[in-house]
Amino acid sequence: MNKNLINSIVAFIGYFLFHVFVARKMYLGGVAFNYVYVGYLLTLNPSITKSQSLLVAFAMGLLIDWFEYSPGIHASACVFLAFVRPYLIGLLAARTRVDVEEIREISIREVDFINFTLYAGMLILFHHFIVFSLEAWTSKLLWLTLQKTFFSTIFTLISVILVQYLFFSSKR
Amino acid sequence: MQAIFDFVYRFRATFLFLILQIICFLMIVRFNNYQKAYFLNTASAFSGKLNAWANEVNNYFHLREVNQALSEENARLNNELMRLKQSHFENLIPIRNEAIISKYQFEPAKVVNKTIHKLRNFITIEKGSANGIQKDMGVITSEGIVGRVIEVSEHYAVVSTILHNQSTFSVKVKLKNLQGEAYLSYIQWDSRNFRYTKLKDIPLSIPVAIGDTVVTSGYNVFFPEKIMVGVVERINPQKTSTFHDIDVRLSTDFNTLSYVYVVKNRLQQEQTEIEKDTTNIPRK
Repeated sequence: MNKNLINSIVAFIGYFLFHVFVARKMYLGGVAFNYVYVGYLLTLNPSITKSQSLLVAFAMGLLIDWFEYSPGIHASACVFLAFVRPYLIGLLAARTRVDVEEIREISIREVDFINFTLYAGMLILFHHFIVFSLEAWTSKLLWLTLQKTFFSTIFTLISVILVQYLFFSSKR
Repeated sequence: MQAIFDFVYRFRATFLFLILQIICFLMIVRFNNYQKAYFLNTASAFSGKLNAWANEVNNYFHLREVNQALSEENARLNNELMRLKQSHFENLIPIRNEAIISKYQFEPAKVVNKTIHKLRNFITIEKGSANGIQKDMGVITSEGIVGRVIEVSEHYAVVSTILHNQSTFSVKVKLKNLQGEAYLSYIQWDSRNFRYTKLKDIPLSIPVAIGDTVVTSGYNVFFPEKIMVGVVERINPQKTSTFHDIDVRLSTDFNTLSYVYVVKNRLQQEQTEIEKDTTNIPRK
């Protein structure tokens, strides 16, 4: 448990620094943004309680907001993500025909590629839609919001999967 | 009573979720209302330092562009200096009011963080209250206007740029068709492309032409008069409105922006105060 906690803290700092130093400078065509830090919240250990994951998500969101000049926007989206995540883990368990408790960690090597992509894709889509619509604030910019959501979801999803293969595949 | 506690405890995660969302929502609303980086002060020491490091890393990849821009500006300033030296001796204008002659001072500052693709874009600069930077000072480059300072810490300041879909800036259009007569208007970004902004409030009866220059009006305290803003690039056909829909190509290149000047207006406080007094006159 202790080792898990340390791993988790290291990953938290790692994702955050990666966002500040690299990811936030990667944007394609003004519509695709890279919010790969969401990967941390997606792969949080499923055994932690819902309240804990809400607080972790809130902290991560606020830190990101601090560097994105957008108070509350990422925090709100992250908290929402943490709130619906358990339901999607339930779906994941149903798809892989195991009990929820048997999913020890959420990664490509634990659940397979397709399941992980579906799970991550859906949560990233929710998250990004909230971020971009809160940023737009008015419905006048709906089309732009939808474009940004679509392209950024793909960009982030690819990054999250790459991180899985780079950092979390060789162990075991 | 016990039942209430049980209920709250049972749904503690949901309650926590609601509380956190309310906190976020309040922050967002305040941010939207006041158009400034309320609460999360990006100018603070920790984030400022981290931003400066991140910028350092990034700078290695843009050294060439930065050098280019700086040498171009050097050349331009040199030319200006020569010109001024000459004209100074040719026609000495007797201006007596020292305060007005040196009304503006320019403080150079390095950009350590910026966004250009959001709906509201900000930059962080590496100069703060220690260098005399204050809220509401204008920020320009040698090419054009950038924005105004909204948050200041000791060594950093956050600037709200003209790429902000809720901020407007007062400008003048020099109309070619009317022998360079100036028409007062304002610009507001439509949050689509960081190279363009929209010119507002110009009736269809005003003969704006492609290529007309847009400069600051000097009617706000942030900027000196006649700082370049951009050039009219497109006049979109208009059917339903009685105002022109005009795209202005910004002269400031936000993509390569790395050094800016903060405009210190020595008479800003005086002007703001005297203008504030007029708003207190009771209406009849």
